[in-house]
Amino acid sequence: MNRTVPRLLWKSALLALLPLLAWFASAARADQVELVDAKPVAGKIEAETATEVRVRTSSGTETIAVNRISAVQYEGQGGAMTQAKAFERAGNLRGAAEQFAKAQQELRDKDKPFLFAAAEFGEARTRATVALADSSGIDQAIARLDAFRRDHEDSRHRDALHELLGRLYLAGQDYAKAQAAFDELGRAPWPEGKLRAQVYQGRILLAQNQPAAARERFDEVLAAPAASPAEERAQLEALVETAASFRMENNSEREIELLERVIDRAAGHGTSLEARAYADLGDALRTAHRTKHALLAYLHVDLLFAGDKEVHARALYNLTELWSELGFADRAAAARSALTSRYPNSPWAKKLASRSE
Amino acid sequence: MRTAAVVILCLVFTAAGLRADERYLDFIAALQDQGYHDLAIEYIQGIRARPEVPEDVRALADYLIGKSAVAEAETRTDLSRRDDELREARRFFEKFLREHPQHEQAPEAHMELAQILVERGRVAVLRADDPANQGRRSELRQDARGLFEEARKSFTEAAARFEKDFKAFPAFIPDTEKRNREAKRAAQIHWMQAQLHLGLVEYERAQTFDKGSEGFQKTLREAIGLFESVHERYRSWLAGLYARMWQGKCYEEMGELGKAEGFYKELLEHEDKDAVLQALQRQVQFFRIIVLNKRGDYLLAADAAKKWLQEHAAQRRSEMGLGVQFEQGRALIQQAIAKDENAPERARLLDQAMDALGQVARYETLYKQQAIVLEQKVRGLAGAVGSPNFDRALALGEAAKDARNWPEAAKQYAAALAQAKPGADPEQLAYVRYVLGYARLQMRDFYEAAVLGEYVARRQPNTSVAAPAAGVALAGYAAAYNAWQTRHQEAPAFEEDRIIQLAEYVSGTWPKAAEANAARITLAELHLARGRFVQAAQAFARVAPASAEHAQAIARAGDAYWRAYNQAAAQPAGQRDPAPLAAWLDLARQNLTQAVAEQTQNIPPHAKLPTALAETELALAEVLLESGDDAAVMRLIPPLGARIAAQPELAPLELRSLIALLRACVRTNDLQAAQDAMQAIEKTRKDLAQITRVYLELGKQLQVEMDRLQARGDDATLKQARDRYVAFLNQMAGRQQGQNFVTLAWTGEAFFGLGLYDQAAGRFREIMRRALDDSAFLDLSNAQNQAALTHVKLRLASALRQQGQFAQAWELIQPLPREANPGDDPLHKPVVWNYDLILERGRVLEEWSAREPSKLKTALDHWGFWAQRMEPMAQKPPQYFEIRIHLIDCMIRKGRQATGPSEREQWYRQAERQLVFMTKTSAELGGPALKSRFKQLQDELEKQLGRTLEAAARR
Repeated sequence: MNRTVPRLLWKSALLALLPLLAWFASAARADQVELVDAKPVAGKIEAETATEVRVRTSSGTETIAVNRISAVQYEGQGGAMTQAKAFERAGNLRGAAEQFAKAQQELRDKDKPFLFAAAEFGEARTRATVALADSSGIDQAIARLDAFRRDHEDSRHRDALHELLGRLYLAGQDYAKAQAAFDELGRAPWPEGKLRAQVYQGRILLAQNQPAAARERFDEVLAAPAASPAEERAQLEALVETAASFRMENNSEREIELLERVIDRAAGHGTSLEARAYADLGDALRTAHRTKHALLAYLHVDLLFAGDKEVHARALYNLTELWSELGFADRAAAARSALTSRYPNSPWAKKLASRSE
Repeated sequence: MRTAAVVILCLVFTAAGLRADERYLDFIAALQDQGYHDLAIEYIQGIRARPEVPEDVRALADYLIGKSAVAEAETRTDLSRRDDELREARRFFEKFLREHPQHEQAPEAHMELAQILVERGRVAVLRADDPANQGRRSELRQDARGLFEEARKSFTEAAARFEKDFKAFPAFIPDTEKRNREAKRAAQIHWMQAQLHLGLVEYERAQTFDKGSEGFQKTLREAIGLFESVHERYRSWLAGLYARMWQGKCYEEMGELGKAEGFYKELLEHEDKDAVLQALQRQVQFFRIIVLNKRGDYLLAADAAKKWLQEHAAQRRSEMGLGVQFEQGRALIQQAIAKDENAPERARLLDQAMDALGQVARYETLYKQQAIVLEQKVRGLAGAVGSPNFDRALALGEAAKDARNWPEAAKQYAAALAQAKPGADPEQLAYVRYVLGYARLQMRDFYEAAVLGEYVARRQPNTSVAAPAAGVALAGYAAAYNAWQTRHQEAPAFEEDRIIQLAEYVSGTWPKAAEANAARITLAELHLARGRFVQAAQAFARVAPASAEHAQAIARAGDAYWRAYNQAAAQPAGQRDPAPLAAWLDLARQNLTQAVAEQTQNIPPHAKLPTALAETELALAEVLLESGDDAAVMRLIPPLGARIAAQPELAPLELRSLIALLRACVRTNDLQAAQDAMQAIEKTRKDLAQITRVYLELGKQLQVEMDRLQARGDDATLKQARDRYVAFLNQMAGRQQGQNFVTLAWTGEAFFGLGLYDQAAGRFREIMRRALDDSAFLDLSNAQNQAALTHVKLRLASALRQQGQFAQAWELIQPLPREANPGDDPLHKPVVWNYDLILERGRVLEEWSAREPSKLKTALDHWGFWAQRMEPMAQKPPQYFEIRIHLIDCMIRKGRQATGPSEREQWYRQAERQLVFMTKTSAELGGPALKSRFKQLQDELEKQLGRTLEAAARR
């Protein structure tokens, strides 16, 4: 909170500069694989499969498991691809999808199959996420992902593809196909894939109004040893879903207790998990008529996790109602305006509109 | 500034040399050079006890740790922590000097100690500039000045010592005595350095004033004088040249650009190509570019910057090099603005400016934030504004924050958070969340501020902003609490719980941080507001003894214990627990005594008495009176009263002090002193109406004092105190000489306060008689005197009522039609907004009804009328609640008097509706004492009804 921050950091910034300069020099002429647990690996990507990426670096060849990769920057990826990634990061998913499509046009005649596949999957991914947020265009999104799966059977995007596909089927209430997609996800060679698949299988049961059966799945996840942050994250997701199962049984107190446990442990496990936990907590608190507690829970989403569009729209809808209930008409109007301007096609905006009519 | 100091320090360091084992010292130096100060400290601590480490190295250990600790402190972004670490570093230098006063590095250590004070002064200036500390700006600047003054003192002493050391050497030392010659040279350099520092301290001190203010200009002039004398004395030395440069900088900041440029030109004309001189000239060239920009010579400034960057290419990324590029960018933008909007030249200049600013914005320096803001401006000029990335949004947020444009700051910080990449630096994220919370607090978005602050405090407790963020959250909840209470006229339980939980968390998580003390004070304020005086006192008492707020906090702890004592003692006998009373009184005395001692410590002997201290002393006097420590009161009160009388700003305390003095006189049976006190009252009060209010207050205090003594169950003390009062008053009343309105009013009220209503009535009657008979006694042509007499008449009515002489009392105050009140006596007007009269009329009727039941209907009508009349008032006074209590009480009585069950039920239902209405419309019910009376009525009504009341009333 002071103007001296830059000045105080000056010395350390200069010290850090030398390795950075060296890195820029090599990265400028190479692909770069960003990892979740280590420094990026720069070099030439020679091969990509569903389980690993092989990179030739200045010191030899390195094989990297796909579950360790957080992002890949390809050499000469072009302006559209860069812009697409920036849009996606900023939450402008439609803009990102268009840029990914443009990148495919740019790359069509170039012999860059990995980069082209990344652009293709990027478009499929962002359009699928939009479909999930808006609950519309689900069939088209599924078709696009299916086409990608056919064309790139052994792609490094395979796990993400099955997860998205499963979620889309689940949203479209096609539980059998959702189950099949998640089963594919569970066949990944790393434990977190299996755990995540189990969480989704529980969600399918929840969607079919079987909370007790779903809980058994979640309990299996929670009982498994969690050795990595990814596995721990899967367990936290299982806890969130367990809370949801109690919600179906109108057990708000148990639901609140579990969600508070998730929130206590969730920091550092990604914003979407925290966003979901806070939004669910808001729902549970509203059910328990703890209005101001609920208001604060939703405010967490609005202020800290607005990047998660589906959850943010839900929080804004609830904030509109809660501010109004508490007598803050101006704040209610601001939340309503944010919801209708930012997420005009979301089910929450539609729900709000239908309530106002 | 820093660069200059470093250069000179290096010169001295090299000159002095080190004779310790190079292996160890080289390694330590390497760690320090690389910025690994924490490792250096760890390493030194690890080797200092090892026997194989040479004594030379071990002797230097504290000195070297101190240096690393200072450097480490400078990397801290949290200014409070930085200040703490600087204090800690100071300890090492002090230890080094204590154990090795003659060490050859001792002069350096002395200089380091003084330099730490300068650094701490800078920290205070930065904190003062922080918008978060807007309310404390003047206090922080004062702190900074204090530190610079201490530094000045240290450098002055050091200069004197070094001068003495230097002059102790013979004027000529032959070349053969090399060691001696080196020692003399080192002493001279130390002396020079200390003198230069004195100028630099003044330059820093100037930054504690608003730019352009008289203080700023005056202090810079003082700095110029000091630099001038260093330059005069050492014009051929590097120190003299540096002094010249800083002289120029001072002139530049004073707006005297011509003079500044003249000095810079002179320094640039030196042709010596020595590396140290070149370093000086590089800096001078940079300062000159600033002057050129300030003067509006943008073309020259841009050219000079370009030349600087070409000649010193290796320095482009140094802080100075980036400063030059920043000035270059500014100059280019100004040139572009002057061009036609469509001119290709304009676009070219803006491109160049973007290149320069882009470079600056890449590095974490003083100029980064300003560069990003300028970049955004250039984008605007070039029509290419896009959505900012994390860094850019953060910088724009910071700029908006500095301009106190809170909505814009909040927008940019939120944009920065939205742009944060997965795996972003948690420290940086915590900072953005914290400042976003701060901005929302400024926008009065209290819940948002609370959410953001609490998130950082609880989820990121190890970040440097966690404690300040908790402060934002607490402020948010406190403001939300106040806003809700104002709006709904009731204390919000949700916000209250959050404040309590968060304050306890802050206090436990960062017990020594300033925020913990703020949290304890907030908690205490909350308990106070809710009438939980003991909890309030306990929270105040937990404020850390080392903190600046401690003296005030324990004063408030004492006051809160005193209020707890008063509140408990005022409870009806059945609801009162006498056990803790004595303990609370004792704790009140202990805390107030300590508070007076601490507050007095910080005040110079002849300084004015601060209001806070006067209040604390007065509270202590009241507690001492209650404790029976009469001697202590008589020591404390007379000098306090004299100081209160002498300081007009303490006038609001005068009434309390005079009453305390009078009570003390009574307690010590000091008739003469009592008379003196009354004379003092006569001299200070403007009119008799005010004087009678003083005595009414005294009478009330005597009455409640007796009640409290009774509550404590200390019958012996009660009897002793009462006998003493009565004896004293009888003496006063028995005096034939010198009885005037004041003495009669005082003794009347005092008798009343002691429950001696007959004597009180006698004194009031005496006043009325003499006022009507003797115009010299009271000039009734004066409206204020008439008001005073009316008041005495009302008091007579009260005294008569207390004796059961209701008809006589009623005769004095009954409402009369206009024709029956020819003198227009206010006590007989039917409707008068005088709460004392309203209450007295109602009480007379109500108490009278015990003998004459028909009066109860009149009393009921009276209370009902005033309850209705006062209902529309937005801010209801306590008298409104008292009237409602009487109204309900009368209804219950009517119910009891009723002859049939239906009528009884009807009255009880009416009373119930009144109670429900009151509890629904007010949570506080006029305060704890009145609330307790409502509760008694409720209990009584439930007993009569044989059932509990509606939920609202039970609440």
